[in-house]
Amino acid sequence: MNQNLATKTELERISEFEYVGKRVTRVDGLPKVTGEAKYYDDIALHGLLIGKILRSPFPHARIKRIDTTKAEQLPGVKAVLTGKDIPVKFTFNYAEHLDTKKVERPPKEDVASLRGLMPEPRADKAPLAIDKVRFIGDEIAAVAAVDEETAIDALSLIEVEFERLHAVFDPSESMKSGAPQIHDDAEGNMAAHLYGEWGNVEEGFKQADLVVENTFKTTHQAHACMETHGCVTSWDALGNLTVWTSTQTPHPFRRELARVLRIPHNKVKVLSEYVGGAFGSKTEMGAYHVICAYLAKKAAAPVKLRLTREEEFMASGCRHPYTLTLKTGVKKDGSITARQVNIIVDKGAYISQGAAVTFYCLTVPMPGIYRPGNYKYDAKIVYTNKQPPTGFRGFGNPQAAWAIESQMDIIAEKLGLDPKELRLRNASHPGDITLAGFQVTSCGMSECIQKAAEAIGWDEKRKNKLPNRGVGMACLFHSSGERGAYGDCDTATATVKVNDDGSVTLFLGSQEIGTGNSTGQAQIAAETLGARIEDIRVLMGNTDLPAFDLGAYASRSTFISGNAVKLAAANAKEQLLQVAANELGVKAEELEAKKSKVFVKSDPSKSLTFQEVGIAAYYGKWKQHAIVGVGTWDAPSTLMDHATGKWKPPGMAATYTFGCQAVEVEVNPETGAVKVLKVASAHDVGRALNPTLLEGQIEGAIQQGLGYALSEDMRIEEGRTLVTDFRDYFLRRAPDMPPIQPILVESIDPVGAYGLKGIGEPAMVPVAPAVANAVYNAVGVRISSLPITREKVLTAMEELKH
Amino acid sequence: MVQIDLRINGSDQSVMIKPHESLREVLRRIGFTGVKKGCDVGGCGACTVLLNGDPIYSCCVFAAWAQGKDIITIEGLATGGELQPIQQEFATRNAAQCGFCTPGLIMSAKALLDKKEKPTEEEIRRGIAGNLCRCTGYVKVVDAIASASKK
Repeated sequence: MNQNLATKTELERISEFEYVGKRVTRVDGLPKVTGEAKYYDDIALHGLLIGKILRSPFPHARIKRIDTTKAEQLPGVKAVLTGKDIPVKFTFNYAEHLDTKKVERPPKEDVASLRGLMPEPRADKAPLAIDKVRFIGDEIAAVAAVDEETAIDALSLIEVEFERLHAVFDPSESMKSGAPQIHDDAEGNMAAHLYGEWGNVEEGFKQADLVVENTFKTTHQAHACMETHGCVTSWDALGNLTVWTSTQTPHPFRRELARVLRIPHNKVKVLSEYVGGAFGSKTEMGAYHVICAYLAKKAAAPVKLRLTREEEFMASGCRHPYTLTLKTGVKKDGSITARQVNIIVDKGAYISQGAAVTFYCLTVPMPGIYRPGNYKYDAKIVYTNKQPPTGFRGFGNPQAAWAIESQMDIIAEKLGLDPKELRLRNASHPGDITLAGFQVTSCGMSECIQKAAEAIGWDEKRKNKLPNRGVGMACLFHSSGERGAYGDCDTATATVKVNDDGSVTLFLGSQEIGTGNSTGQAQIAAETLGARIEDIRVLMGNTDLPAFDLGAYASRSTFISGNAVKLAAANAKEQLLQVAANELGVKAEELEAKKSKVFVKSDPSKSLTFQEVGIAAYYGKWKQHAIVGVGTWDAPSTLMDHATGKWKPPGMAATYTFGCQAVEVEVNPETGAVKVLKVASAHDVGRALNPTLLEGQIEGAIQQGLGYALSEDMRIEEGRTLVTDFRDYFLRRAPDMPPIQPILVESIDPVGAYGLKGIGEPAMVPVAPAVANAVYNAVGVRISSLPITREKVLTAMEELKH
Repeated sequence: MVQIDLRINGSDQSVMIKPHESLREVLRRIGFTGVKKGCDVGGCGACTVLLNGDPIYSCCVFAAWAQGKDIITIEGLATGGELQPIQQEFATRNAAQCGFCTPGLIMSAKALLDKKEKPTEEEIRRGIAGNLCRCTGYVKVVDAIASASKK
């Protein structure tokens, strides 16, 4: 399965590409600008009921009694559910049926690879609380009623008797003996503990000329998708369930839901054509999905359950807050001899993807970027009585970068080196292998550093510093894909059908969450098949299509699915050319296709349109009857070897991405306010399949990154977020954004379709440390906890004076 | 329920509403689902429509209050199948990623361009300050509006 698809001749043919590398217009643009695009909340069905969830007002309490009688009697109420109605507990990709004691676990490989040296994941979350509630917002009961007001009224009629329990909010308190026990089977509130050593860090520190140790903190960042989580569920008479929802992972989500409902996967149809923002928050089945399916079953009517913005901020997940203590040993020349990291993860009430996120942080960026000679890690993932964070763009990498990249500047200063120079000396190059065993093939890291620095005017501005102005930079290392998230695979399947009129339908398993993935896939299909892109219709976001994919996460969509689409299109083209060859009386090898036309290479005047070939195939005498190409691709990546805790090359992914951001800031010495004047963001994208879409990914990630750096904080106090809507949560608005200069560096990857790599997450990763480094350069204060508020800057500047 | 008359996208409609219903809820209920629901308190701008030419958060206006006023939603922008330049530019310049905030952004941009033919970049950014977008960083959005203003 390890196809090496980008051949040299293909690379040399770049100038002949019709669609690869072009600023092709989005295939899904028009429905979005006319208001036609239907998101789950826009679905109208006859007799559609509205579902609502009763949530815990307490961070930690035992449920003594629930009485739903009055709610059930309220006119207009069609179904009421409590924990006893849904006897299941689940976590990401894992479920446990409480009545039959049947455990639905992922394939064995999942556990080995993702969880590393940890105990098996535990299904710790009930869709509706069974015995206890563990955070403010935990689901207790649910109703379905004829309208929203009746549903809300019904919730107020549900009587719950609580026994308040002591709650714990700080993970360092939570780990202490005598702390309230949040889950009975998690001693010391330890949700997971990841630790290991590659090489010998003590030896490494002995070899170092300088050893630096610092502690860095990150906070709760909300995904803040413009569309809140939710779904519409509808059962038919045959017991088939249709779910309209907003998901990044339609196929794995279908599996998770079907297993909880104990029905065959083909009885669940997931429809998710339009997703109003996701960023990692929509990779998991939520309690609300299970609740909504059960409500619809009980009410025998379709039900819509949409989280309000307040519920979204209270209970839909966010970025994991980390406290990272990073110890690094370096030689005078800047080479890194050892790195040791201790992390405490504030996991909130349920484990969700906490182990996987931290596993990524520990194995990809920590030992990957700058490749320390020895490495030791220890991460304690600790339950607290707060809302559970989940995966979020970067998946543990922004936290890693916050520590590593801030510390790189501290080290550079102590060594008397320019931070740019220190990074260049430690940059990766093709042929490098990280300590984890990740093989660097294509790599434009040094070029990214040079170009970002140049774009910000680095040398000039570091030399002739203006008062209160500063420049800073930070780098990133990320994977394109992740083997082991769902088993021993990182795979996609696509189908390309040439219809009887020569038009083309592309059935995608991979998902469109706004990134432009479906447009990129259409470009790859058009290029490979030789069709006009306007002749291609892309169908996706539907689990009943003849396609499969693990979903839009880990910057994998265009990278992984691109190769599946390329194979499917090549397969269809083979069939197409054979029919054309029959019609024209030549050999298929003599033919080529371009712009939906097949022609003889030596004599292009002999040609057939795709329409003519389509008619000949479907209705002609050539026994072809249909032109359907199927492509399945699995990345030539490897699983972690359980014995060593490392990978055989190429490692977790078939390729890795690199980048560097440089920013210029101005700090107001009176207020401490940080104004970002410009961001230059250089990325190794492999091949720029569609520069417009790539720029869009970079620009959007920088909006999120600047929020993370400067203003976004869910401010959870005593377990309660002070944020209920966008007036309390400070997303960057249009006037707040600085000019952004995206820089695309093409390293032409040997594995990605036409040489491309994934770029969905990377630009989010280094923004915050680049800003912190620029603030240090501007006014000499090092802010080590996010976000970099004016209070922190001003206080630090005051301290500097004394 | 009470009956009110609303003038939506140039045509008059009699609609049964609850007296406290917001304009957004009524518009969505009768099929104008391009009016998006991103929050519930006037913070995100996804529900922006034009009321007598002014961009407003339709979640913060009672439907009853809109009686007798001219309401334009995203569905009413294209005339006779012909897209407005602003819609065309959003589509071709990748200004709509996930697309959820797009109708609201386009309505705010439309109001801006109706009042000021050639806004500066700063004026464009101020003109859409009431609309949140989590995907684009606003770069392509501003490009699209600037480009539409030249058409």
